[in-house]
Amino acid sequence: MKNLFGKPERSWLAAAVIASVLLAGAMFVPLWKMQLVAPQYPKGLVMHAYGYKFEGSGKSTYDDIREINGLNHYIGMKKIVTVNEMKLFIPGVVALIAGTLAVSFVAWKRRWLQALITLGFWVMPLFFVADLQYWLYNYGHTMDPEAPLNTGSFTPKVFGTTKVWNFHSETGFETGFYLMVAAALVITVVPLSARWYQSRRERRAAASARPAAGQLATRPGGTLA
Amino acid sequence: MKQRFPITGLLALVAILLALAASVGCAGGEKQTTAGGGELDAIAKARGLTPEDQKHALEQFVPPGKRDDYVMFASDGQGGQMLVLGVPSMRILKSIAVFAPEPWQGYGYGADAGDTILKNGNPTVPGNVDLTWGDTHHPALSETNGDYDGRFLYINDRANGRVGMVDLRDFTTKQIVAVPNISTSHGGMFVTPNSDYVHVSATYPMPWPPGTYADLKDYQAKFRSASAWLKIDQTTGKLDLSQSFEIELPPYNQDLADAGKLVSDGWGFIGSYNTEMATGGDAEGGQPFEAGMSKNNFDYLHVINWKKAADVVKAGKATMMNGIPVISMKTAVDEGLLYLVPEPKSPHGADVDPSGRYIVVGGKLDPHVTIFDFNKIQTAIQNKDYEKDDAFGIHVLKFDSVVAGQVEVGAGPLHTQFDSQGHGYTSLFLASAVAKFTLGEDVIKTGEKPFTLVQTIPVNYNIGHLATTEGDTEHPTDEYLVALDKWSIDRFQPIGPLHPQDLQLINLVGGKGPMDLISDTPIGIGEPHYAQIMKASRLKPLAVYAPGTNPGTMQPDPNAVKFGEEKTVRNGNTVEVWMTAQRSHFTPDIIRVKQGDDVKIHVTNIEQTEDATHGFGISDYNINASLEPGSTNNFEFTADKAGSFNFYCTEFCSALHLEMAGWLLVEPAGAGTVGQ
Repeated sequence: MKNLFGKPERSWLAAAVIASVLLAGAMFVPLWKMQLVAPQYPKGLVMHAYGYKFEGSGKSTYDDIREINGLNHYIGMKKIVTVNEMKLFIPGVVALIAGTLAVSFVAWKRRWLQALITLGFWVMPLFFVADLQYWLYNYGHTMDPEAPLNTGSFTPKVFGTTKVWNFHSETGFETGFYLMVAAALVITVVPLSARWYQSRRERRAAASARPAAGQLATRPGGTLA
Repeated sequence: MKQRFPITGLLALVAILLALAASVGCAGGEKQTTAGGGELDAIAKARGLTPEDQKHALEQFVPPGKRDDYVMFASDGQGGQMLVLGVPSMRILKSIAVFAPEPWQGYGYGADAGDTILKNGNPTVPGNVDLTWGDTHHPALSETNGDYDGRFLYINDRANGRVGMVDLRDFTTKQIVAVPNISTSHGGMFVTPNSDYVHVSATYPMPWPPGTYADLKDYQAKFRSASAWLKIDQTTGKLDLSQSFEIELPPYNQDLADAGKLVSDGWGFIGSYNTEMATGGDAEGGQPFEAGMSKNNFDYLHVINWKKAADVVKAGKATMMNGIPVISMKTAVDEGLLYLVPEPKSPHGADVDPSGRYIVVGGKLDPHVTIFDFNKIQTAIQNKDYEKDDAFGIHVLKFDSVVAGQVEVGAGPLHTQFDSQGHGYTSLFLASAVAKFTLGEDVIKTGEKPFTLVQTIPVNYNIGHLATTEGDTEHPTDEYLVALDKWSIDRFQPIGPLHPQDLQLINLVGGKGPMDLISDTPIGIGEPHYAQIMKASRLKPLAVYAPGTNPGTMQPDPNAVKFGEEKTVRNGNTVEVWMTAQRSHFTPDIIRVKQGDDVKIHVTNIEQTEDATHGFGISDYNINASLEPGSTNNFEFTADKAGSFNFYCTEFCSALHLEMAGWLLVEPAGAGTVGQ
């Protein structure tokens, strides 16, 4: 561990690989789910949102999403469809991972590229939440005025319970979202802490080597590269 | 040492918490018991329930949302349908339309499946009318290795000599077969232990060849009965007449029948009455029919070697008659396929015990059950131990050589089923009771004396048949007996002269304790005759049909469409519509035709949601169908009545059910308008 944290390049490399693996994992598992609880669906109605598609629970004979759309049409809500930005999810993940690996192995000395990559990792989950919230608002506020049941506008919550008539919808994040957040945390925290650890070690080394040179405020090694 | 304190402290805390939880749990439990007991006593007191009543209530109660352990299939007589009930709750789950049109299931009201099945079930005898009723009597469940397998159900039509086949994947009828050369069939229905054949035999003999006329003075010469062995297709459950055969029988009235099992596998047993060959004529100076029929002290149990009979047919020794090979009585005697055994007296039952060794005959007009030993029958056949030949040259085995025992059970013994402990349970019509008795020593597991009456229990009233849980298989389960009582008299709220039937649930207490009556269930939708009770776990029913399935064929329907593929096509005078149904609309919802057009409508319920059934009814056109999820139903009719008609969803499907409707616009032909 000492060796790993001892050299910033290696810590970045390790963080980049781990974060890439975590992010890649988010392509294969759902990011978010919505569960509709209603008495006439004893097996439940579940919609899992992947980065690029929606999927039902697969536990019933019926297609959950078709069923949810069927229920939504009573209140005039639009059908659930894959929106355009979902088509960018897999290309985005692949590009980010490719960029990360390129920066790590080829251009690792360019600090601003690392910062850009790190930012990219944060954009993934944050954009997802913002976009999701946008669409939930959008669906709740573009109701067909000629719908059979008039519920008025509402915004389903990203996380928590929304109640419309006798339908409770329970929403929450799933593994994929947490993988994205974990990836961003790893690529942010690991290199930073490695650097902090490295600089502390160097300061201590410098302090013990030159106990008398206290007034000299020069930082050891000049730059942190 | 310093670090141990927190761990010890933690352990102590956990222990205290556990102790608290336990004490709270105990206190809660005690409280609940006390409160429950007091409350239960109060309810019992308020409703006037004895401790005995309370015990029975607990034995039968199935809590909301829970299911029964058993499913009972009971015929409903002149209703022409089959009833499905849960046991022990006795709640009715379904009435399966078989021989009579039934609008809720859309059976016989324009949808192709039911219409086709009913039409193909008409007898082919010239001049016959379309039959729209049947008299269902003796259901027979398919079996594998002598136990029910939950695949198919067969039911006879006593009135018209037909057999209906119900697929237990969807509990609907798939076929009605008009059995050739038989005009009526009563109790001669059973399935062989591996579902090779369904057997059915004639009740009232008819002149042969069928469809001809013969006077009753030629009864012995010209009238005949038959024992029909109908081959089961193992995939569809349907009956294949080309693989089936019949055996010509004397003009006795063949009655209850059963298949041999285990040691007697390959054999069948049919009881009979009216071996006197009486023909009535009380207004023509003769004896009443019934008196003539019950003169003799003995009638004949028919013993048939069906496996050998199948070989005889394969060997080409049968002649085709109305599309089915028939073995003549002479061939049956010569080949050793058919023997008679004397049985007292105008009996009703002929039931084979779980071991296959004993055949129990209920004497009806004799207070005994007579128990025959299959092994003794075999020995008698080998030794040609004949008493005589009957009028048709059929060998009659010596009664004393084949009987194992007789038990005096009471007045009017009819039908017997079994438990696994070596007991038979026989319905006593005249005594209004059920008798429990022991069979032979080799099958008794309770140490009781063989061939002895153990107990009788009164029933209310006039019991016909009875059924025990899996009681005519190789492995009865000894839990319940249902008495199918013909009269209920004073047992229920009076509802006028036509009384409900009474199905009484009796606890068998594992075959060990005394029988105990649990409850009465009124049946006000038909007259159940006979029933079989199967473990519910043997059933594997569909929740929904695969998209676009025709329920009549269980195959993909060529006219099934998906959402977005709907269309209307006119071709000359034919208008054809491919329609979808889903909550809460039909697409298309307007059908425009001209008076006199031939209209074909194919409706697919494109839902796959359990219980999302729609209906399709057209006003004033006598059309109604049940559209179960995934099913495709086809309709064809002539729009001979002009006008603007509604069609609508007849099964309450959704919040917008009433809005699920459309128009059939039949534009009047020529210049005239409707009503002129």
